[in-house]
Amino acid sequence: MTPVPMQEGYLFEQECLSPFPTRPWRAVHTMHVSGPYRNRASVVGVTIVDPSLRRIRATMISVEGIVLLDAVRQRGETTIHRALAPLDSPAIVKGLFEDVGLMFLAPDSDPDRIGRSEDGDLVCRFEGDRRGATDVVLPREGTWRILRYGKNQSLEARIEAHGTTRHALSERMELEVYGRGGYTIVLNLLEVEFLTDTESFSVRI
Amino acid sequence: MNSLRLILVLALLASAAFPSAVLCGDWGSDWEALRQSLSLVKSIRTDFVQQKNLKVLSRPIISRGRFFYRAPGDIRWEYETPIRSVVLLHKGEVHRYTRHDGGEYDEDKGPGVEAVRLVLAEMTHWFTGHFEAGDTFVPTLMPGSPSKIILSPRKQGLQGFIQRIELTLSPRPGVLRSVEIVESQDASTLIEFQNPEINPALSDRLFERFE
Repeated sequence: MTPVPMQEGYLFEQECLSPFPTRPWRAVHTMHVSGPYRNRASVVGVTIVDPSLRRIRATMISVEGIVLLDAVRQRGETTIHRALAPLDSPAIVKGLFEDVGLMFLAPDSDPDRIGRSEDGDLVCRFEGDRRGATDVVLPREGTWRILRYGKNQSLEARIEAHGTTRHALSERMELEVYGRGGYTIVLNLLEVEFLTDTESFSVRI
Repeated sequence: MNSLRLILVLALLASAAFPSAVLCGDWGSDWEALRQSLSLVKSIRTDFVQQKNLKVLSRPIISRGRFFYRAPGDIRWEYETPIRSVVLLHKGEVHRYTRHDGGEYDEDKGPGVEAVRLVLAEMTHWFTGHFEAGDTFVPTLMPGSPSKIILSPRKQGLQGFIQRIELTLSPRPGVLRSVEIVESQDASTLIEFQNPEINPALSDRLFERFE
């Protein structure tokens, strides 16, 4: 990564965060999960995010309309309203929120480094997380990416985001988590809307 | 797991369309009239529209599909949108297939499948009108205009996951207008049946594999 000139860095800081809406929003996706041994599952996901509170409410619904999971996470604290096996596992819920947070919440710090890749993509590196680093990669046009590295600098997860709606949410996102027990999640956006303050409060996100 | 069973029973039950049959009088007036109507049904084909209502949503999530039943125990419950999925019950075996991310169908062993397996088997009692034969719900018939069948969980533990199911009967004998699964005050699923066909010829192929 070739660093951008220091005097230009601040100009790119906002661009680094451009994939992440700053207002509360609600979205409905189809979610297709592929795990080890060709284990696959498809559900409908409702995600409500309040970026200012770093609060996420995730509701997963089976094809048949059964609420499989309804939970809220805010700054490390999780409240489960409803969970059916196997989603009643705290470890699974924690992992789910980490994935959702990686996709939809901006890193909780300013970028530590900003530069350009060999391809000319803008790369914003965030190193404030003690677990590792996160790169937000923004090409001049097309798919943008999030790369999550562990403390040993190994690539732990990769997100590719395609297409952007007028609400600045991607139409399609693909998450791939590496390592033993790795899996992929593909989200296809069905609908999205920003929430008013009244709606945000009323849904208790 | 029991709770999961019950919930899936309800969900699958909700998607069942009851057949039409010739019956004099109000077929929803009593259990015997109900059973008489249903006993004449050997097969069903119907479209359905499913509305998932959640307090956190400003409008319901809409799903569409088709449902097939063939006596004594074949079921094909097929979703077309927003996720293509097919659940098959045939010769006592249950399989769910989902079209994964627009690709090929693949057997879906995700959350709820095990309960689906148990639920479909119980659901076959209902097509004959023998609601009391199942061990999951207590049925209550409420004659009226329209008549309704209210299914309440037998076990208190289940009530934390599902409060009740309401089956609304059509004035047309043997036809179910809708099924509503009430999970809580914040969540419910309403399935409305459209264009039901009673006793159509249904091939083995429909239940043996998905297409």
